[in-house]
Amino acid sequence: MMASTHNPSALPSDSVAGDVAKLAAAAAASQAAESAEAEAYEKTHVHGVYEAIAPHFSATRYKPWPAVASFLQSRPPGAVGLDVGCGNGKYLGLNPSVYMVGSDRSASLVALAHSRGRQLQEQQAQEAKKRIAQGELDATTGTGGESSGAVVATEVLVADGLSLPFRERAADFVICIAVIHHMSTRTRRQEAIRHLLRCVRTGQAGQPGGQILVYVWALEQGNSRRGWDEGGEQDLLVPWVLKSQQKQPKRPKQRKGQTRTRDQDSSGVAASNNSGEAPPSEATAGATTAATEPDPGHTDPVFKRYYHLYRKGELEEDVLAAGGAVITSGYERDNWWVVAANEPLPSQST
Amino acid sequence: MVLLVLIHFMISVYMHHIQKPVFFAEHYPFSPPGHLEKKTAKMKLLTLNFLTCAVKTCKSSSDSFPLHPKDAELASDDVEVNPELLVNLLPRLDWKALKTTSAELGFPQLPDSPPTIEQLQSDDKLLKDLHSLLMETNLMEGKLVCGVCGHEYAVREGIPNFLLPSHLV
Repeated sequence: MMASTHNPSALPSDSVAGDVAKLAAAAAASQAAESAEAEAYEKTHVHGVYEAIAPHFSATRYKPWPAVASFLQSRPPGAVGLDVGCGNGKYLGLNPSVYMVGSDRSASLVALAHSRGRQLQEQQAQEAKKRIAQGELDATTGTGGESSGAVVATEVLVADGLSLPFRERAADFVICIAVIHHMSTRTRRQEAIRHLLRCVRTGQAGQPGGQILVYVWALEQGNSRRGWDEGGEQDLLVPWVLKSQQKQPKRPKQRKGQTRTRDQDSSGVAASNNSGEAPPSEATAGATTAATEPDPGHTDPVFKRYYHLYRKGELEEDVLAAGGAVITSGYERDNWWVVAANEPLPSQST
Repeated sequence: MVLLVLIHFMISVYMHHIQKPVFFAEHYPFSPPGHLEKKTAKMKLLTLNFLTCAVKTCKSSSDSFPLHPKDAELASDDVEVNPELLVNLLPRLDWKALKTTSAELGFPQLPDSPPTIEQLQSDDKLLKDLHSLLMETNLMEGKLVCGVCGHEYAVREGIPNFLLPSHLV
């Protein structure tokens, strides 16, 4: 990668320039190999894991993050939004006045998101019927009451974050929650952000452009039980214990080098947080090579997901490297988040 | 003024047709009546207006959008009208692509240009017709084909799959 940044014209002779060209070609080849390797790695340590744990994972994911919820609720009616890495689709129906389309790399999670959206719609239809029966709603128009319209939460598709199928510059906003930290090289993480930015409208005179909201797991988790903090290892394999349905969740034994932690949304609210989710047990671990590994303390299968834990300021750096402009950023319960747009910055009228 | 009335009339006539599920049965004999069940998985026609080919090299070509439906099984359903959402959605639509998509699905031609926001706000019938097309017309099964590379993305149970084979990544 470094070799390709040299400028051949500044070099003293053709032969050296030729060597540099060779080096650059070799670097490009190794970059391609590196990219293929990273992809294969993520296939084992991210995609394969989510396919395997999808129903269990989904059952623990229904509470929206406050910063995400407030971002979505502040979008204007009729705004078109994308949720890249939508998982079980818990954010898709959150604001019924916007139109959202979700995508995820995991077909199993997308199928769950779709049926979840249909359930929401059926519930809503039944409630509307009740209101009609009670005379609160004008049955002929189907409008009235406090309803602001149909929840649209069924629009989902399977796609890779680095090959998105969305019409460019068309969306008003994109959310990408707990996704980018699964990409195993910095180049790929920045590329993923570049893809998000490409989906949203660019700003025009007097009209602010579209915004992206990105959430990633933080390295600085001083208040959680995971034991990660500033200065620690940023690239980790984090186990997911797939508890069998019949068993009561037991408190795993504390073992040397392991801290019992809980995972929420991979955005992890600490165990002390009373959020109403039923998190699986999770333990910190250093990098190992297998996606699953027999654990002597458990009969339950353990799946290891790759994470890159973001240090303070790193997410903003990646947004800038991707050609974006940071609008606001912050920290919420073990996560870094950023709201960004395409350059130039939209006028801050609101 | 005459033009506006004409456009309105065309949309009305056209919408009047597609509101009836029987329309789909007539034009898509391979779509069994079972597919008109409300519970079945499906994707709204509106979503197609925001989808293009996932292949990087296709994106620079205007022929990659919209994707072309193939062997499409359609269904209609009842969705509560959200006037504010529709009025605000209108400027976000690619009308030309919507016209192409609806023509390819066998519907009567849409006018060349979209109704204005004022028309949509003042005309309840027009609003409901547009609602019917975008929000109540669904793609359930079939393929979406790129006009550049020709890749066919499968749509099963209302979910398109845009994962690419390795030679297209």
